[in-house]
Amino acid sequence: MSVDDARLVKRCQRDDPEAIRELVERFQGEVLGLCVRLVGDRHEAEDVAQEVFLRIFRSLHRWDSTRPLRPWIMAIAVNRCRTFLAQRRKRPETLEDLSGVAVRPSSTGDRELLQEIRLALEDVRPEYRIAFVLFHEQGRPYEFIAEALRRPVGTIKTWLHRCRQAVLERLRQRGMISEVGHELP
Amino acid sequence: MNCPDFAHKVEEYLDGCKALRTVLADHAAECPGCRELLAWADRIVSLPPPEPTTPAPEWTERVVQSVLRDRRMRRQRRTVAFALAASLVLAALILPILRWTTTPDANPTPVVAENAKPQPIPEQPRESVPELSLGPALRFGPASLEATRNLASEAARQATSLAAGAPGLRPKAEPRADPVADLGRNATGGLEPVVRSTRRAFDAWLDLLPVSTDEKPGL
Repeated sequence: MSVDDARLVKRCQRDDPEAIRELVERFQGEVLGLCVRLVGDRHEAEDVAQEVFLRIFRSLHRWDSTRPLRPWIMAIAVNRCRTFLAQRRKRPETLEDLSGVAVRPSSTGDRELLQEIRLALEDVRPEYRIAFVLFHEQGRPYEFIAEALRRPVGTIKTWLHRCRQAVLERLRQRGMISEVGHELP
Repeated sequence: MNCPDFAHKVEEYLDGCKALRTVLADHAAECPGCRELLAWADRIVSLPPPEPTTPAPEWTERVVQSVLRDRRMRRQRRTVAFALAASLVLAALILPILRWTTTPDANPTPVVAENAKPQPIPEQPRESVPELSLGPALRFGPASLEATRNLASEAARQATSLAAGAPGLRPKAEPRADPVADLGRNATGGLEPVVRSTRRAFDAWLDLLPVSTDEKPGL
């Protein structure tokens, strides 16, 4: 735990506007980056990130000062993104959503493979995507993801495995990997 | 290593066991299907971290203001809730006390024996008569009575001395009053005693006036 973090949180709890601004500026890059990666749309991600900070300050008194602040904040961001993605799945897709997917080109280069992987992630369940992004893109350990998503580590491993399978299947359908390639176990 | 083993090892490799890369590469060199799977796994493992997202200054300001506004509103809500709760607690404490002090009989139900006959309930007065406080009267009554008595004695003494020094106040010999039977002879007969008494009283009053001459007005 950083003493600086604890001091900053105490100042925030006293409604010090400078402390609130400092905390927002300290974590806004990471929070917004994660939201953009998980939500996809920049404008929606900004709204979600704003909501994340509101929730952070509302529950600041619940933060255990013996533990680091950063994972606690990122866990709130992950949960908020997860809720947003679950809500978005229930509403019908707009024309903008469909056109945003359709205009992306498909090719066989290394850059295109990365693009296809990210496109494939948009079709999987939100929990799978969050687990995938946190593990493979952000390098978070299983324990962190399990705590953030409030699930056992075994569940996270299963989600991650299913997500990889879905991505692999998608790449096969798109012709990025040949049909004769082997399956994951 | 056969292909199913390779697939298991790829899964471990994806879970973070980078040391398996050499073993996997050996098998992939002989099997085209496994080579593609390893290429895909390599791409997943080497996914770049998300680019640092720098928000616009307006966004930061918007977030800070929304946080401040939210905290202000929550504080106000807490204050109102606390005031309401405090009012309710105070009311819950005060109302029983007020009721207890205004109730004439705190325990109106009498203890009645099981075989006792029910007694008629005496009629209660409809209005409560305020109790008179006799304290001040008892305190100041004797003093005021004594003062009145003194004043009356003084007035009687002065009247006696005045009467002694004023001969006009002495009663004069009254003529005999007309009999009642004669009253009807003339119209003024019944007023004669009254007129005479009035004249005597007036004369007595004139005698009391401090005049230096002998001329005295008279009726």
